[in-house]
Amino acid sequence: MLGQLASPPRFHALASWLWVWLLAAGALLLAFGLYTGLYLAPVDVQQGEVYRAIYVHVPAAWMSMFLYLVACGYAMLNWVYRSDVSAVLMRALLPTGAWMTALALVTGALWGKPTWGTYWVWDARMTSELLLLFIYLGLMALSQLATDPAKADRIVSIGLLIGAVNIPLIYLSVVFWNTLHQGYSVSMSGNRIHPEIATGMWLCVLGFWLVCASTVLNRARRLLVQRRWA
Amino acid sequence: MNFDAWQTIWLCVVCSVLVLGLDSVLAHRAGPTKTELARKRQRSNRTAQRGEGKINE
Repeated sequence: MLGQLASPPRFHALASWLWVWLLAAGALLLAFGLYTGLYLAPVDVQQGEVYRAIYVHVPAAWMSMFLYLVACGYAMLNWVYRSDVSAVLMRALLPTGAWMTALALVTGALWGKPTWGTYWVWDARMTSELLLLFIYLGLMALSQLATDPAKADRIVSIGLLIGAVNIPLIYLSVVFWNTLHQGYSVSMSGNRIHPEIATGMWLCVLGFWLVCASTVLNRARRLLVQRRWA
Repeated sequence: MNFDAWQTIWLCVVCSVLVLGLDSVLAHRAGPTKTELARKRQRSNRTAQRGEGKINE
């Protein structure tokens, strides 16, 4: 099944109809998640109403790291198989990852002002997330530099794998350092968020995931056409 | 500039919707589709034929 998807015509055919359905499903889930989070979820005892920024901040922050790891997976596949599909997917993930990182930083800053009294501090979590944005932008620039696409793919693959060091650093920064950013609310060992608050957040996470998947597939199929058939 | 709680929340929501929408639009302009490519080729073939005078003969 996965081997068949590495075939450019099959991937193109699948991505051409799948992206529309993913976008529709994602938009619906996101709308429902936001309604649940903004109107149905109870007020937080400590933070008051402003905690509701988590319904967009948390999905964006998770997507920024998740998309990077998926791009690393395609970088490894591209390194081994040199297939066009893995190369375009790797490249297509970068702009969406960069947008999600920028969104996580902006929504975090907006939430930080009423909560911490400042838009920005050089806290380990925020600084490592800012570093992730620079890594994304650097990789996007690298992908445009080389005139030979195969050479550019290899350079971006190496860059992605080196930059992957930053992902556990972002995730574990709240454990390693005494940060202003709060610690884990959701982890492998359990969920410390009230179920009524968590429901909307999970819906928004799924909505973000579907919209991002749709965007990446749409971009990848267009990059594939340009690379193989133009 | 200071925003109250609900202004902050709506600002975050609007930013998110704008970013998701803008990324989706930019992805749509990342390259041609197969149909667009075929149309472009047809157009350039026709132009080339016109240039050679085949259509007017």
